[in-house]
Amino acid sequence: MVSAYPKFFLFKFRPSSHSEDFTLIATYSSSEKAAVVEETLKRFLEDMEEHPDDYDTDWDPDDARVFKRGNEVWFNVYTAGYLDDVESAILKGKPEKVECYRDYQELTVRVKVPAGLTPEVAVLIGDKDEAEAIRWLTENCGKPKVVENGGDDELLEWMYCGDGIYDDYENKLYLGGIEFDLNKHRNWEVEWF
Amino acid sequence: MSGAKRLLEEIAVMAIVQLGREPYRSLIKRIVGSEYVCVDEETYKQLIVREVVNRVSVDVTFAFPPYNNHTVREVKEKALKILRKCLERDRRIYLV
Repeated sequence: MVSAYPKFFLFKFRPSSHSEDFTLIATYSSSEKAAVVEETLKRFLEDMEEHPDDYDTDWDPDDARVFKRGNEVWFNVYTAGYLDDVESAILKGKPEKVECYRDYQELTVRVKVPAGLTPEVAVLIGDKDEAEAIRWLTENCGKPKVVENGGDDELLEWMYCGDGIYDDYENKLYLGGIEFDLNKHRNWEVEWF
Repeated sequence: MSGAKRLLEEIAVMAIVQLGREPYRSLIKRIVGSEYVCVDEETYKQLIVREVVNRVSVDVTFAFPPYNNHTVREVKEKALKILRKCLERDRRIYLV
């Protein structure tokens, strides 16, 4: 029997009055499959240009970016959530997984600590905000890489990718419920790719 | 169950019934047979139904009190129009 109601809802994109930079990352079983979906999405954007009335979007196809990275296909656009037809095209390629991010960022976060300190001990010597930041980063990005910094210092380094957490204008990190001000913590730095 | 939720379910059923009829049935077989589509016929139909339901969900809300901006019939007609547009779009994209 055919089910009358859609059986899967990966994301519920609800158009809102607030636009954001959305990034969809679809992972396929092979690079060849990803290439097919990339081509489909490019054709999708061309079709949108030619038949705008057939699409329910608030964005211009010229403003969308599609590219392939190994067996992943990336789709990026600024929208108030009008992504249902893009998601549908992505799913027709049968991805292994699809991730959706808002204001996607890839960051390297570093903190300078005395040589030989583990993150567990570094938590103890910093102030309360630093301890919370180290805890959040370790929970969400895994154990930091320890990098030699010359002299008596070392750097604890986390690689982060996901929803936007760094405001480069304010130079602040938003880690869960914590607002971490890098201007007040000069031993910290963020590199944004 | 609220009137809006019931109407969304009715629209989903209406869409799936339409997809099983000609000319959509043959078109879907061709689209699913395309090298660009990797899902089976059933999954493909579910994706189309999902698009239709999502695109009329706001109109459905406004078809009931206290809004009453549209009639149920208008919303169903819009859903059928969206269904046709989705299939036409996929024909252009996948059957090249």
